Amino acid sequence: MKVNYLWLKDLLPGCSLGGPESVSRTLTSIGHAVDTLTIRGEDAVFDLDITSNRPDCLSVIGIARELAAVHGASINMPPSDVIEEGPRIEGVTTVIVDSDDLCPRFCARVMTGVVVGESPDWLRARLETIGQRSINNVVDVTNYVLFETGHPVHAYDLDRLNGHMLRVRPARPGERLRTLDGVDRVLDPQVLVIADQKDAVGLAGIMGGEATEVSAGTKRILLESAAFEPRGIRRASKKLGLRTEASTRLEKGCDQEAALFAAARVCRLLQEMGCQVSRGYLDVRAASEPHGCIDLTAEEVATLVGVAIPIDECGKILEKLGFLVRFDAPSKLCACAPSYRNDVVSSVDLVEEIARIYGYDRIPSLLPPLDSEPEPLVPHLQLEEDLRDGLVGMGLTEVINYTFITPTGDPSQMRPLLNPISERTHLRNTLLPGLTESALHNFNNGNEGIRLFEIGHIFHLPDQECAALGILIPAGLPGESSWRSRGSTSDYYDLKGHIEDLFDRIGIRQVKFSPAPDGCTTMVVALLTAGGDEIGRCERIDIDSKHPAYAAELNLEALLTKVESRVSYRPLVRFPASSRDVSFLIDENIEYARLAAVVSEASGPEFTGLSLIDLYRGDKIPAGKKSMTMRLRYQSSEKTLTSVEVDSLHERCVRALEQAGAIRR
Amino acid sequence: MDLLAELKALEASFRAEIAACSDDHALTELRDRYLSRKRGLLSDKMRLLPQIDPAQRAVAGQRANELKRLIEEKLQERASEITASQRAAKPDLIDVTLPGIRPPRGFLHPITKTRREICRIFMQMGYSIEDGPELDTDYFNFEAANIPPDHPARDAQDSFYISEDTLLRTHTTPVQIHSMLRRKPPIRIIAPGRVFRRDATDATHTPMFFQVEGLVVGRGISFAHLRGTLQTFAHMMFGSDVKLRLRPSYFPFVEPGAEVDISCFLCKGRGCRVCKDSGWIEILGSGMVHPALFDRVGYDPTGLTGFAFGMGIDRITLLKYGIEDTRLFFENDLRFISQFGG
Ligand SMILES: [Zn+2]
Repeated sequence: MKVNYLWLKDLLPGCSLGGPESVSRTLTSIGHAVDTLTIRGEDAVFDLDITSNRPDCLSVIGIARELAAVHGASINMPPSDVIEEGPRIEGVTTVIVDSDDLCPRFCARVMTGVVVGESPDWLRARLETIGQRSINNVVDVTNYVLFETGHPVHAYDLDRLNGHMLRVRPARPGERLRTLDGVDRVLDPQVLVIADQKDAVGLAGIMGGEATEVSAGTKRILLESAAFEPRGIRRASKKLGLRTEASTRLEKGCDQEAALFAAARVCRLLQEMGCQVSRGYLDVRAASEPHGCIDLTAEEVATLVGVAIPIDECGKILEKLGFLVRFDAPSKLCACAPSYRNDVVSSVDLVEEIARIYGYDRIPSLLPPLDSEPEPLVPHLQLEEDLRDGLVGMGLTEVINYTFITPTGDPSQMRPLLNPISERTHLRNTLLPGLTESALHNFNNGNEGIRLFEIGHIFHLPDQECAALGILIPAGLPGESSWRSRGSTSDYYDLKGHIEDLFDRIGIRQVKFSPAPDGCTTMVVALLTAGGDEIGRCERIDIDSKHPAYAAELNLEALLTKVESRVSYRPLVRFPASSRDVSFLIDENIEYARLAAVVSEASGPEFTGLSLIDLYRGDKIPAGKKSMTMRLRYQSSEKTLTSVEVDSLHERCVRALEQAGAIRR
Repeated sequence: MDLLAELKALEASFRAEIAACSDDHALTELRDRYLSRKRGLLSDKMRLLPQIDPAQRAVAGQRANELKRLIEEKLQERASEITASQRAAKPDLIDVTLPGIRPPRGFLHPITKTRREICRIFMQMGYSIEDGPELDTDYFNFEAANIPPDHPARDAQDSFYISEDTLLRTHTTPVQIHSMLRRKPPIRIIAPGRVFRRDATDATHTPMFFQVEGLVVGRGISFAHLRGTLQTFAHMMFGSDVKLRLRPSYFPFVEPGAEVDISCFLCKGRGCRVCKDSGWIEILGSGMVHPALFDRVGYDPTGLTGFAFGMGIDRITLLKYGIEDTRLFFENDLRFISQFGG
């Protein structure tokens, strides 16, 4: 909201405000942040960021009140006395409020002898400084009073109102109204309207109607200055998609006591411009409870703020802010908020009032006593951090993608957003589309070394949310190469190797990679299980038509249950190990895992390890066969094995392989 | 003659000869002389094995194999010694200026780096880390945080709904509520995580971003403690010369509330583009926990106080490195991510 310096000065005569910069600092320090300060000659405009709990500060008087409290000054309220003449208002118009729960107060005044025309220079200039365009004297005066008091006042052309009366009622179903902005609106009973005898003539608290607008021919006006139930205004304004200077104030709650004053101010200013004010006013108001008193002890202030502020100083601050303060007992006060402070309802609110005027700057900096026991990082977060460190250590880069995605697969498996703002319409049920998108972006920008991972939540139907890890490694591309060697082409085995290494690092053993069962989508290459539970899968995906990739997605909750102690220390064996190689041909369709199982079943306790050191497929061997060379290691924890002993152990394993179909070479 | 004795003599002569070898060529000759299948000295001895007394054969055979292994080992050892001494004698064989062979390098996302930095600081101050679901109920996201329906504060937190009652959390405050329900005071936690607001995407807004919120609840916790905690954080995060400014502000879940600025670490308070010439940068929102929250989680509010604070991880990363566009965080361009170190 914009407020100008000279206007504030008018309301605070004899108060040494300092210059605009000083006012700006003061306002910021008491909670009204100045977004920008624009100096304009002698004047200056503050663009204020008023928090939503302080609708009273959406006005020059409101800001002046705050400054007066800081400086211990009092505010010079602008004149609102008028000379009344002509017939009494009761003889000219009537106001009926049907829904007094939604409209607790409605004040009306009538002015005659109106000549609609240009506003005087001072008015035009002042409105201009706060960014308001001049329209005509009547509209300008109502605007001026809105910014001055924070209370909206609307002027109707009295002679265009059917029955010369106003009624506050819910809109009829399908009722139509063309508002001042020229838009035809269809209303429903959830919207409160101001109507004349026949039709709606305005949206209560939001905007008037075009048909009863003050125009060049207007002679008599009816002024409305009302308070509405804030939630009703808020809902209607949201529903209609219409926010105005009036509605932004009324939806936060207005000072009901200001309604009559605002109307009188409009009368006074228009009277100064030659209009006549009719005798009396109408004031329809629902019974309202006055603000209750709030108790506050010095101890409460000291506990919450952390500094002892004497109770009489607290009381003085509150009085300066317009509160009625009574000291009931030593170290205790009782405060009643002014009508414009609906936001202050409990003792903590009083404490904030005291603290902000006392000065947040004067509150000391202390560290809280450490009375809670520090805890280790919870296992699932520790796992995520270990995975990140492991993957980065292997040369992968972390990405972060949006949680909502454009469905690529079957959208019926995904949870849709009710109100998306882009083509990202669903919650992701897998991390892989995001990783693919990131990889594509990097390919398109010519980046190298694209090996990516993401850790984040995914969402499954009906209402599951779980943490997952996604890894993507492009296939068929050479890896890092240097002047010494060319990198090898990456494929599924690189992805698998990364996962195996990662599992070693975090303490997961006994993971099985098995071929995707029938019924899986063709993209799935392998399923990962541990102890019989599925923990993830590997897929072959296309980043685009030219770039295939291998990707894996692991369920972190399942993974967490499989983490064993990362360190399992075993004493070193003092006797040397020996190894023997065996080369053989075998049917292509026999899996490595089966051969490894055959070897480990056949061998005794001296067998300590197996590695595949060569695998050949091609035309140098019979069709349907592959050639493998395995290296088996043997070691005893009790003695040095002789070569004869090793040979015989090895022979046992080789025979088992032969029984499984291996043809020794 | 005794084969074992001969093997012993052979070993002695080999040890003498290998010591004298000074280049690769001599080593090859030596290997041939001892191990060549046809004329090797050791091979000759091994051929004698079948002829000797079977009682001795096993022992001699084992001994011969061991000698063979020893010879091979020594040859290899000597070969690397020779290579090393040649290198030492002729250092120009290494062009020390050739690029080193680097292992592949990966990078953490800058948001993760900042999150860890923030969390580390608070963990040093004894905080525990909490997390929670990204999809939560309207109750935990808003009502329990003292933001009833139609509350003006909902305007600033326009949300993505999944159902009438379920939404993507707009702040990590629901994690605080869940934690309070699960724990008992005293509490000292921080909650980092993704949050979502229905904002149009531009250079300063993305519909998803990251927050860290902190919560301390106990007896005698005051605004002064909040101030001291945030000052310690700011010094550790931005440098010990950074000044702190607390301004009254409004968040429904705290009272009194405060917006927290730090003196601009780029221009040292003189005014620049980042601080919009004010010399101050807003980094977080905070305040004393509103008693209504204690009420919602069933705590007896008598004598119980607490403070809470929240900051945007993206925003702090943006400020810290002078990044001009927040959308870069989710574009995942390696040229961007790789600038923030491993
Ligand atoms: Zn600066």
